Parts: sequence; structure tokens; C-alpha cells
Amino acid sequence: MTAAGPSFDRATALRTAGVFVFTAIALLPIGATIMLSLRPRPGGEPALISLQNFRHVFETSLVLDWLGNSLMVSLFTVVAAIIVSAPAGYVISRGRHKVIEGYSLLLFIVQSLPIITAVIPLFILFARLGLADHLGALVIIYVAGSLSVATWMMAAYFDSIPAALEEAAWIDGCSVFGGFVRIVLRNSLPGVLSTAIFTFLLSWNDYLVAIVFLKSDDSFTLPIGLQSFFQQTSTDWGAVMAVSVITMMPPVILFALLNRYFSVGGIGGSLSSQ
Amino acid sequence: MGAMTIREARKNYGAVEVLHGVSLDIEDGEFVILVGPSGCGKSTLLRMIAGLESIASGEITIAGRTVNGLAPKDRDIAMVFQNYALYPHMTVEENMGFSLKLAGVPVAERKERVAAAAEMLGLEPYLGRHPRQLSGGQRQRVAMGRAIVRNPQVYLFDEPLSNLDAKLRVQMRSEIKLNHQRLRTTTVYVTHDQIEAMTMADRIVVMRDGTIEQIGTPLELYDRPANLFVAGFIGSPAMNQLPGRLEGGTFVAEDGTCIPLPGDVSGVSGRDVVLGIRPEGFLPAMEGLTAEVVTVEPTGSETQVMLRLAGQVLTAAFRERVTQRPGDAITLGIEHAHLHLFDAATGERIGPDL
Repeated sequence: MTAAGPSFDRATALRTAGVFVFTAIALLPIGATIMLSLRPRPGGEPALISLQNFRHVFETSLVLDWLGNSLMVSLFTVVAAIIVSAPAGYVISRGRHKVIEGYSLLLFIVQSLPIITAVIPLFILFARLGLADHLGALVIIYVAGSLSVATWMMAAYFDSIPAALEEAAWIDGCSVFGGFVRIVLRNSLPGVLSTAIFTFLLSWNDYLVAIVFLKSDDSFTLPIGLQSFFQQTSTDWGAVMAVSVITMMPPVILFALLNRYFSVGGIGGSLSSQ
Repeated sequence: MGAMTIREARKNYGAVEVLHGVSLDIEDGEFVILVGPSGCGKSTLLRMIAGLESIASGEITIAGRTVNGLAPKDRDIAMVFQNYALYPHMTVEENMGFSLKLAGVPVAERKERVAAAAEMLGLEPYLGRHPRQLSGGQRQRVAMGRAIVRNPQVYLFDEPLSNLDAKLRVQMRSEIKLNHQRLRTTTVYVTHDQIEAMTMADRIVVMRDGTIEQIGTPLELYDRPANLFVAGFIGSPAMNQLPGRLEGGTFVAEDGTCIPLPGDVSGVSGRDVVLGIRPEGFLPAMEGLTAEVVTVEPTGSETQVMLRLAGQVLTAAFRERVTQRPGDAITLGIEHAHLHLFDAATGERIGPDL
């Protein structure tokens, strides 16, 4: 043990304690939501933990439809956003032309404009196209709204992939697009996943766009469905908490499943210096 | 077959021209090394041959075919990159077979050709491994294997050894040379290391600031450097350069030291010149020039001595053991084959040969 040992240990202990405190504060509302969702309903059978709230929302509301709608919208948004932002990010990452640099700057400016400023004109436009109260309208807006940041995220990841890799692929017989798909994209899984999660959360959590576009019960996404439990005179808090928990589950499951892929991949071993 | 010509090749980045009309003929099977300090345009030229950089003007042909407008994949070349650029998600076998797979070579033949190249490079035990499980030298071999498997018209090497440690570098140098002797495929190799160039090349192209300074066999460059730049770049330790004047048949250094020159230099008498003396041109002698020993560095096979002569510190390399100590006087002769004259103003070599 060196003389510096004990003070180092104390610092580590303090840091660990700090992390615990902040984590506890962050988790408090989530914990409260889960606990409240598991309370028995008023007039129901008394119990410490009960699924009465969940049974109630499944029986009396369209929560399964909303879950399906939310999943569908988010899935299409993620897939479309990746399909567009990955090649676009590649061009921004590798391109040295003035036009590309200008476009990249434009994206940066665009992403600072809140989508909500365009929602009303978009609603009028989409209503004429017959897309009001249609989930497709949400997908289009979410993709467009997330594209600038998604493209930047992909470009930033591609910057970490050495150009020599795709150059080797071109010499080995790949076209430019072939080199991108077979070599660059193939080794960009963590970047693709980060971008996918970003767009997923953006579409999954959106309330403002959805509340403008969706009118009928069966086309609601989960945040809008949740809103329908807030009544003018009373609110069924147990049901609200249950739907909140249902809304939280998919992102939590997704993170848990994908977590390990963030640390693997990358370009280990391809270069001399690693 | 794999002959290559480069005609007046130019390249510019914006307004800055980095290659000023380079012309070079490479014979089939030749091992040509482009050498020069960083920023001389050697890598740019290699990348233009590969198709990774566009050609602003001029023409490059490979095996009689103009390749200016062709994509890299259509040029029938293979390239070994400085950082190897192995595909991280593929095994050694997949890395080496990737080009054959893209070319639609049947699996059985692919396996056979990869196995043959792996055997040549001693990579058989590693075929199932991923690049991250290999050492630096093994990665370097895989990068070479990837090129060999293709059996291309031309191999391009971009400083392939610069990331290896000194010992491995010497070993891989002989391996590359040996492979070339076996395969006899046209090779263009870029390095900034003149030792690599001297030991491996059939012909060396010395470049500086986007132009070719001299093209020749290693010994031609060593024996008859065309100018002061080549003289200083080729050879280790570097050639000593003494500024002075020619008076009759004698070189007079700036401090008045006279060095008699052999041969007939009367035609260029009276000019300001630079006298180049290779370190190995100095010989211990009974009579001749007297110099002061500054430092003595024995390496075993030879002894390098820093000398104060004609007001300058020069390097001498003796085969003989040196008994003098720093501060002692030493008497030197000069071997005439190691003397070179250059014009002081232009740096160009002055004939006649000494």
C-alpha cells in the first residue's frame, strides 16, 4: 500500500456514493410510477401488490391498439431514418466538396428549428393529402424531424472508420456503394444503434405532433392514449400509472437487449496501431 | 504484360499543384521505389496509379491500357496500405479471399488460392483468426496476402513497413523482396526510408516537391547523384557537403583548405562549387589532409568519426578501428570514387567524373 492509497479509496467511495445519490434521484419518479401502478383500484380487493390497474386498462381502453400503433410508427421511423441518414452521413463524412460542406452546415441550422413551428402548416397540407389522423403522417414528420441529427450522428461515427478500409475494398473490387455497405456500414453497428435509439425515442415519446394529427381513439399512439385518462373533473391515477408503465417498457427492453452491442464492433485489429 | 507508363501526370488540390508533370516508365516485373521526404508527392502519385486520387492531367497506362477514367476495381492492381486496412469483421481467410469472392471465383478455387498465398507467407495457422487477434507483423503479412491472392498486373505498396519495429522491418523487407523475386510482378513501392529503397528496389525514383529529381538503380544513385538533394538523401550516413571554389585542379574550401582533385576539372575552374564526400570515402593515411577528431562512434563493423575539417564538422566511416581520441589529429586520404562536384548555385552535378 502506498501512502496515497487511503485518500484514493476515500475519493472512490465518495464518487460511488455520489453516483448512488444521483441515480436514486433520477429513478425516484420512475419507481413511484411503478409502485402506484401496482396499487389496488378503489373498491377493488385490498392487497399490497395487485395488477388490477393493468387489468382495468386492458379491459376498458384500446391500450393494446395504442401500443401497436406506437411500435409501428417507431419501427417505420427508425428504419426509414437509418436508410436515409446512413448514406447521407457517409457522404458528409467523406465528401470534401463545397456543396457537401454547405449542405452539412444547412443540416446543422435546420436541426435547431423546433418541428412544432411547422406542425400547423403541415397539418393543413397533410389534411389535403388525406393524411390527417393517419399514422403515416407521423412517420413522415418524425423521419424528417430526426434526419438532420441522425445524419450528423452517422457522419460522426463514419469519421472514426478509416478511409483506407473502403479504399482497400474499392481496390478489391467493390463499387463506392458496395464498399460503403459491405465494409463501412458493416463495421458501424454501434453508430447505427445509437442513431436508431435516438430516432426511436424521438418518435416513441412524441406528444406534440401526435396530438395535432391524431383524432380517433384507435389511431392514438401511447402518449395520446395516456392523455385520454385525464378527465376534466377527475383523473384515474391508477390507470394513468399503468399505461405509463406500459409506455416505459419497450424502450427499457430495447436498451437492455442492445446494450452489449454498443461496446463491441468498431474497427479493432484492422489497423497497425491497434 | 504489367508494364506501366506515367506521362506528364499532374495533380492539384484547389489552386495548389502538388505534382508538376511527372513522367515515368516502369517495365514489366520491375520493382520501383518512390522515395522522398514527406510531402514530396510520392503517396499522391501512388494513389493516382491506384485510382484513389483523380488525375488532373496527363496519362497513366497499365499493361498498355489507359486507366485515367477507370475505377480502382477495374485497374487490375492490388495495394498494401500503410495501416494495412484489414477488414475487421472478416477472418484472415475472408480478408484474403474477399477480392476473389467479389470477382465470382468459385469457392473451391478461392480456398485453394488463399491457401497457396497463406503457405507462402506462413499464415496457415491464422486463417481462422480475426485481425484483432494478430500481431503487427502478422497483420502486415495478411495485407500482403490479400494482394498476392489476386495475382494482379501491379502491386502498390504505401509505406507498408513504417508501423513495424526495427527488427521486424528488416525481416519483412527481405520477405517482400523474396516474394517479388518469386512472383516477378510489377511493383511500385512508396517509402521515405532510403535504406528500404536502396535494399529492395530495381530502380529508385527520388522525388521532391512534386517533381522527380532522379531515376536510377540504387547504385547509380549512390555513385552518380544528379544533384545535391539526391546526394544528401541517398546513403547513410549522409554525404558530407563542403562549399568552396575550384581553382585549377584543386578544390579550395571557404577557410582556404585545399583538396586536390583527380581528373580534369580545368574546364570548370573558377566556379563556386560544393564538394561532396561520402563518409566511407575517407581513409586513414600516412599523409594527406589533417583533421581533428570530434567524436568516435564504434559500431563494431565500422567506426564513425566526426571530424573537424576545413572549418566544418564532417562524418567519416572507417572499416578500420580508430585509435585516436577526441581532440587528437588524424591524417586522412580520400578515395576518389567517393568525391562528387556540384554547382553551388543550382545544386546540379558537374562533370567530368572525378
